[in-house]
Amino acid sequence: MADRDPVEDRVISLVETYGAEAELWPEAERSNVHLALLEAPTPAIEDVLAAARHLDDVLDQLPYPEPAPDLPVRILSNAPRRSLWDSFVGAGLPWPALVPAGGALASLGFGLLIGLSSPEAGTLPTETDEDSILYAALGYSALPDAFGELSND
Amino acid sequence: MSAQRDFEEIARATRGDSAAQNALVRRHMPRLHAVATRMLGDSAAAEDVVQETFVKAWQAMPGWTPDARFSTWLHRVALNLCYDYLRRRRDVTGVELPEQTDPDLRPDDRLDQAERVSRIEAAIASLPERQRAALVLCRLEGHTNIEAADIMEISVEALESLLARARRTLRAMLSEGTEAAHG
Repeated sequence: MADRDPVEDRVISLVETYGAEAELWPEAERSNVHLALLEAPTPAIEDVLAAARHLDDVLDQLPYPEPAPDLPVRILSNAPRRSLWDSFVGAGLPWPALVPAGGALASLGFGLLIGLSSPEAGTLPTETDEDSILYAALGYSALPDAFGELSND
Repeated sequence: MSAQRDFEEIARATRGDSAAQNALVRRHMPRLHAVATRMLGDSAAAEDVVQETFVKAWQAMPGWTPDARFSTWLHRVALNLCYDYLRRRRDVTGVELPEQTDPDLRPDDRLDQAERVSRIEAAIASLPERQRAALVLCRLEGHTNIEAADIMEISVEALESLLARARRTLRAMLSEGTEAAHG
């Protein structure tokens, strides 16, 4: 039995594996030597080419399977949800637009911190002599006593 | 798409970025669905497989590293889910369905398109699972031999062997069908 040409063997193998069209073959196999044998096939290659072409024609008739239109929605319903922080930061506002809002929040927080940490915070103002004279002139001098009477009851 | 860009999109999807999630689904879902449909021969079951594949993807994403291609990983998961589904179906029915091509076939030139498609689909469905997977990934979905081998976790040589056997089996089935119809 005569030795077969290894190049011819490889082309036969490629046709039987990947099909009759060279574009279906791995890119590395589309060498000029292989392509030349497709252009001018030997009788052995011609036989496998005819069978492969028939199968390729049949396979090319298969329609592409189309998924149900709502499949993406069903898939996305299981996707991870955005955290609260990411929702705030990524709300679609450009980053510079968040600076004034951040500044206002920081000012509010700072004001609350100072107010609560002050020793005078949460106590009533102390009455000075000037205030007493003014209250007396307006007839309110009995007011503290009235509170005292209430608290003693 | 580069692995790096995939990685960045996955990172955003993991944080709940709906645009990134939507982009990933739109890009990868159609091919996964096609592979699953052709592996299972059942569109509803294929949709279940695709949904489950993405559930696994959402779970795996926080630990994702750009070492592997996301597409390859998704296909591998989907393919394994198809194998599981086929195994369960075999356990229930005792056979892998659909089992045989229609023996009452008319000659090729008289078959209309729907019959022809149905006959090919039945022939593909009756291939052994791994031959079918090789044919679907390489010939029908256009993956390169390296990608398909990577998805199936086999060597390129093993993939080529499966492909050649799948094509040989299909040719024999189609030719038997035609001869039976002529006979």
